[in-house]
Amino acid sequence: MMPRGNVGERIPVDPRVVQEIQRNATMMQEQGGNFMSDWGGAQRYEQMAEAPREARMVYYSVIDGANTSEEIEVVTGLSSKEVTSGLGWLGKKGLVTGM
Amino acid sequence: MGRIKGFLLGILYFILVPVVVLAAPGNPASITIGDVAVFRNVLSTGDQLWFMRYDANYASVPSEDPEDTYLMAIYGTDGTTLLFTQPVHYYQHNIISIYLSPTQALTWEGAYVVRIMGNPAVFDPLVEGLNMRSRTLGAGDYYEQTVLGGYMITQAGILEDDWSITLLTSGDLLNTTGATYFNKAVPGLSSMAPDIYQVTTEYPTVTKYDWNHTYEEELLARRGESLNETFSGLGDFLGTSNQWMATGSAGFLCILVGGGVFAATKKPDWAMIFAAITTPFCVWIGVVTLNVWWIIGFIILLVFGIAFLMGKLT
Repeated sequence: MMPRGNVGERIPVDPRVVQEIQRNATMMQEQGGNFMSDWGGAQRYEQMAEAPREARMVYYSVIDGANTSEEIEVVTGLSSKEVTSGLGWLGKKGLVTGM
Repeated sequence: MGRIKGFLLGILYFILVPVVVLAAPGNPASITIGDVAVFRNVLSTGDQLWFMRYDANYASVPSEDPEDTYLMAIYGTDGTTLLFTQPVHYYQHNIISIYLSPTQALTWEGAYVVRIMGNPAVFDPLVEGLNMRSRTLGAGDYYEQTVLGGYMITQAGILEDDWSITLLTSGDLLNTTGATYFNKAVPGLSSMAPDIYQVTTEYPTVTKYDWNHTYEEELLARRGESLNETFSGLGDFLGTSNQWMATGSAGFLCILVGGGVFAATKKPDWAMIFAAITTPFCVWIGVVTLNVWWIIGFIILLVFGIAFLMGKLT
């Protein structure tokens, strides 16, 4: 697995935009069934918008296919300590477990 | 004792009297300007649209309303004279614009400074690269209105890729989602560049003809003062206007004529014809206005056509 720039380091759009689209049936229809699927869905996107940087990067790398702490470190460029911290935050939320 | 009371009152004052301060969201992780463009003659000759794509990048998006905390600003060529501002609607990667009317428009191709910056009331101090980003415009940042549509579609494509949100149709037009955010950032864009929308609402241009009413007024003047006063008096008595009274009287006259002809001939066709002929007479003597007569005439023709001509055909 190759490192990819700022994997999940930043959320690209204000979550208010995502919420507004969710409230509008026509706009949701235009997005199709894969709306914000890169982030595990719109609800998860909003949740990750409030997550610490390292938790967001770990989460995004896991969605992207990273299976171990080592892989996450390679993909994200985070230190071992940061990955552990990110996994800890995600574990408390029940988003990533068993790693 | 008095001093102690004063001291206690002073403390109470600071505790009880609320002090309004705007909450600061903290400095962003980064703040950048993606593109800046100025278009002219977008809605009327001489006006200008100043457009900006910015990124006030926060690791965790602040809860404060971005309209209170960030703004787009246009500064003079000296970089210090504030000319125009517009609060932004969103944090992160987004777009915003400022519209200048022909009287507000700035010197074309001027080296003005455009900024995305924190609200000075919230961020103190404002530091370039920390909570403010500036771009000095060059001649290449100024465009004619003809390229506005294509430019906006390009911007929508950039945002679409970054946001992972579909803003464009397969034919590269703004869909409902794209239209929503571009209209919010650029109010009036649907009038400036209607061709870039999948769905647009436009009002047809109607040229109102200035009708000449001199002949109608000339006909009404034939009524004469005494007849006019009669209609006014009867109208006041019956609680209606002079003209409605006159029109009603003309209708009554037509019925009388039609009734008289029917009594003499026993033929309803002739009664209708004579009643119809009476209406232009009423117009000619100024009792019925010309425009009302056109409506009455149309109805008479309709009734005559149904009752007389169609009766003959069957």
